[in-house]
Amino acid sequence: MTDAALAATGPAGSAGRRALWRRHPGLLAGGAVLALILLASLFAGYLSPYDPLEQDLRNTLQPPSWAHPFGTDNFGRDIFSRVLHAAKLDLMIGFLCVFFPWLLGLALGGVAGYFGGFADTVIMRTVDTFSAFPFLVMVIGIIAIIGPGLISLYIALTLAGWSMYARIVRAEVLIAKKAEYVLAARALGYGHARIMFRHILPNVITPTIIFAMTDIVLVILSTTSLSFLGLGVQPPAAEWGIMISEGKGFILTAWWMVTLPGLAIVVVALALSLFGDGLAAGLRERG
Amino acid sequence: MIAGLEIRGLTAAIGDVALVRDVSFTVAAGECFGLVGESGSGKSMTVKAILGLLPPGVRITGGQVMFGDDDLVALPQAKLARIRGRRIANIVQDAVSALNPVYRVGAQIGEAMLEHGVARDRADARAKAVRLMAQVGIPAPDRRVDDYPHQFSGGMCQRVVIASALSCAPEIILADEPTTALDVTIQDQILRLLVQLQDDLGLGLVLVTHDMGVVAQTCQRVAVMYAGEIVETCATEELFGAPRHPYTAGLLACVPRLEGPARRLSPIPGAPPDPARAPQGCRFHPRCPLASDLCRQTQPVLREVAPGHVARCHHADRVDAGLWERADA
Amino acid sequence: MNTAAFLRKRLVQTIPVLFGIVLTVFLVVRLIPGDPARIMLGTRASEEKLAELRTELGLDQPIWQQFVTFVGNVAQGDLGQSLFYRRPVLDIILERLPVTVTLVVLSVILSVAVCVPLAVAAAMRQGSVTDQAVRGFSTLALAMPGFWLGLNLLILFAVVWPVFPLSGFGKGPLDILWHLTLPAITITASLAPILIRTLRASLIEVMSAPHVQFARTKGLGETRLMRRHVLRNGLMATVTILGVNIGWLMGGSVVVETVFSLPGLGALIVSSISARDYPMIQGIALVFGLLVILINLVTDLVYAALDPRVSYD
Repeated sequence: MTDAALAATGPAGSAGRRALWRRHPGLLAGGAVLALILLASLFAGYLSPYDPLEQDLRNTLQPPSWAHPFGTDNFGRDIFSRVLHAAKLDLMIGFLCVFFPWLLGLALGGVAGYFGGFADTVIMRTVDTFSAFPFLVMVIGIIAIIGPGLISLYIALTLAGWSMYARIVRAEVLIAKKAEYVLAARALGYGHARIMFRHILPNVITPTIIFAMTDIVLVILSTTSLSFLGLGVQPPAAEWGIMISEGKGFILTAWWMVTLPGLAIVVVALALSLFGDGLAAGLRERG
Repeated sequence: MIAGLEIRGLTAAIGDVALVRDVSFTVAAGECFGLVGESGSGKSMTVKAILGLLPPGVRITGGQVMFGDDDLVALPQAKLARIRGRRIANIVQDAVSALNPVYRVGAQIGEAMLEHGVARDRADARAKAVRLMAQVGIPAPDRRVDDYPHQFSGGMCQRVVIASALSCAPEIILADEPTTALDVTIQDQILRLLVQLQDDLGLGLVLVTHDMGVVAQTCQRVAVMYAGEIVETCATEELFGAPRHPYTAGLLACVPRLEGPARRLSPIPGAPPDPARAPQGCRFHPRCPLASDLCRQTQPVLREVAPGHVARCHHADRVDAGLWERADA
Repeated sequence: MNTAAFLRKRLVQTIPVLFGIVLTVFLVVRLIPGDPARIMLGTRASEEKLAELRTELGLDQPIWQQFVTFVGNVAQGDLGQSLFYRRPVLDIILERLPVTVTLVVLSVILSVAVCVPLAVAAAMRQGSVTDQAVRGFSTLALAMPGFWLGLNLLILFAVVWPVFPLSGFGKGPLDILWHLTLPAITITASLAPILIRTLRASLIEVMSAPHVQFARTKGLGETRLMRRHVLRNGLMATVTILGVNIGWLMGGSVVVETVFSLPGLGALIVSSISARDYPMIQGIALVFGLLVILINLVTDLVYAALDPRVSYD
C-alpha cells in the first residue's frame, strides 16, 4: 500500500462535513473585510467627513486627530476622505482590469481550444509572445509606447493580463470537449454556440475565477505602483498610489501622508488573498 | 556476538486501522528468512516498522522488535539511528530512485560509513566504497565510483544499493523486493549475488517478496503474510511440501511446475480485504473453501501445527497441497 | 559536452531572441500613435524643429531602411542621443547600469539568505507554529506594495531612527552597502515570499522522495539528511523560479530606485517615459532585454552545476 493511500484513509480524509467558512476561516475574515471596504467605498460620498479635493490651506500637514483621523496633506485635504474616495477608483480599476483580460482570455482561449487548428496556432503563439514578458515590465513597456494616463492603464493592464486566462481556458476547454456530456450534446446535433455556452462554459469558469482572485491582488498592487511612479492615474485624482507619491516629499515631517493611505492597500490586498485562498480551496473541494 | 532478530506480536496501525497485526517471527543470525505475500499484505510495512521508519500517521501500537538485548520499538530515535545502517541495513525495491541523483555513487556508498565512524575520512570512505563496488560485481569500480546514478543501469543501481547496505558490515539486511523492478535476467544475477554475500558474510537476510519461486531458491525459512497478519511460518521445504494454511496452499497452487501433473494456474478467487474493512473472524474466510461458522466468528491464533511449523487456521489439520484442486472439482 | 561548448551553443540560441528584442525596441517608437516627433517635442514645437528631429531619428526614410540603420547603429554601440540629456544614450546607461546591477545582485543574495532557513524551518515541521508564522508573514509581505514598504522603512530607519541614509548610492563598497541596505530589504520583502513558497513546497516533496527514505535507512542524522539529501535537491526548483523572477526584479528595481532616489536604470526609464525621451527608453529596454538573456544563461549554468543529469546538452 502506498503512503498516499494510507494518508487518504487517515483522520484527515474522514473529516466531518463542516460549513465551508468554518473549514476556511480566511474566506469569512477576508470576505467580511472586503464587504466592509466595498460598502465604505460605495458610500464614500456619505461617509467621508470632507470633500476629497477641497483644499484648506490653513490646515496643512496636520497629524491624525479626531477632526482628521488620518491627518491632512500639504494642501490641507482630509486624507481619510481621500482614502475612502480612492478605494472606489482603485477597486474599480482592480475589478475592470481583471474583468477585461478575463473576457478577452475567455473568448480567445475558448476559440483556440474549441476550434483548434489554425486559430489555435495563431492565438497560442500570440499568448506565448505576450507571456514571455514579466507582467510589470510589459505594463511599463506598453505605457512607454502609448503614454501615461488612466486609459493607458486600462489598456496596458488588459494587454498584459489576458494571456494567462487564455491559456487556462484553452486547457479546460480541451478537457471539457472530451467529456461525455459534450460528446452526447454533439451527437444530438446541437450547434456550436449552444454547446459552448450551455455545456462547456460552466466547467471552464471555476479555474479562471480561482486565478482571477490572485490576479486582482497583483493588478491592484501594479495600479498603485504605476500611479506612484506617475505612469498611471494622474493627479489631482484621489488614488492611493498618487497620495503616497505626494507624501514622498514630506516623509521628514508628515509620515501619515505615506503610511496611512498605504495601509488601505495592504488591508485590501490581504483581504483579497485570504478570500481568494479560501474560495480556491472551497471550489477545489467541490471538484 | 552477531545478533538475530525476534519480532513479537508487532502491530502497526493508522488510527484504529491495523495495517500490520500481531506479527511474530524470528530470524537467526546468518539465516535467510523469506517474508512472502501479495502486495498490500503488510510485508513492506513490517520492514518499515522494524526500522522505525513508518510513514506519517502510522504508529506501532503493540509488540516488540528484539535485536540482541534491545527492543527497537522502545528505543529513542537517536539510538535507533545508530543501529540503522550500522547493524541493520536496508535494500529497497526501486534502486534507481533510491539513489540521490545529484551525488556521486561513491559518496552515497560512503556516507553511512562516515556517519557511523566505520570510515576515518572521505578518502578512506571512497577507498572502501571502491572495494565494496568490486565485491558486488560492478566492473571498473575505481573509475565508476565517481559516476552519478543516472550513468548506471537499473541492475547496476541495485548493486550500488547493496554495496551501500553492506558498507558498515551489518548483522541483518532487510531486502524489500530487491529484484522486482529489474529485468528477468538481471533478477537472477542480483538474487544469486545476495545469497552468495549472505553466505560469505554470515548475514541474517530478511527477503521480502511476492514471488514464491524466489523463496524456494533462496530462503531457509519463510513466513506468509495475508491482510497484515502472518498466516504461516515454517521451513521452506515444509511449506512447499505440506502447507497448513489454505492461503499458502492457494499461493503454491499458482506456481507453475516443471514436473508432476499439470495444475491450475488461476489465482485464488476474490481479493484481499481493505485493512479498514477487515472481516470478522478469520481474515481469509471470505475466500476460503474450508470456511465454517467458527472461522466467521472467531479470529484464529498462530498455533504450532508441527514442530517448528505454525499456522493461523482453525482447520489446519484439513489443509494440504491438493486443497484447491479438490475445491475446484 | 564541456562548459565552453555549452556556452557557445546557448549563445547561438540567443541570436533569434536578441533579434526579437532589437525588433521590438525598434518598433516602440514606430508604434506611437500619431506623429512621434510631435509627441516628443510637444504641441508647440515649430515645423523646423519637428523636421529636424524626424531627420535625426530617421523617421523620414522608408521603414525597412530605418530598421537596417537602427540595427547597424546598435551593433556599433550607438544607441542615439537622449532628447532630454542631449548626450549619447549609451554613456548615460553605462553610468547608471552598475547601480541597478548592484541592487539586483544584493537583493538576490539577501532573498536567498532569508528564504533558505525559513523554508527549511517551515517544511521540516509542516503545520507547526513556525510553519504558520512563515506562511503568514509571506502573505503579509506579498500584500505590501514595494514603494509603500520602502517609504516606511525610510521613515523608520532614516527619519525617526536615522541609521540609514535617505537617498543616493554612495562611494566605495561599504558606503554603497550602507546606501543599498533598505532598498535591498524592500525588494527582498516581495521576492523572498515567492522563493519561500517554492522552496517549502519542493522541500516537502523531496522529503518524501524514495532517495530520502533510503538515506534514512542508512541511519543518517536529521541535519545531515536535510542538508545533503533534501536541501540540495529542493534548491534546484528554487533556482529556476529565481531565474523566472529576475524579469520581475527589473520591474521591482524601477519602483525601488524611484523611492530611494537611486541613480539607476529603473528610475531613469520612469523619468524618460514621463519626458517622452524615446531614444533613452529604447536604449534601456534593449539593455534590460540583454540582462534578462544573460540572467537566463547564468540560471542554466547554475542549474547544470547543481544537477549532474543536465550534462550541458
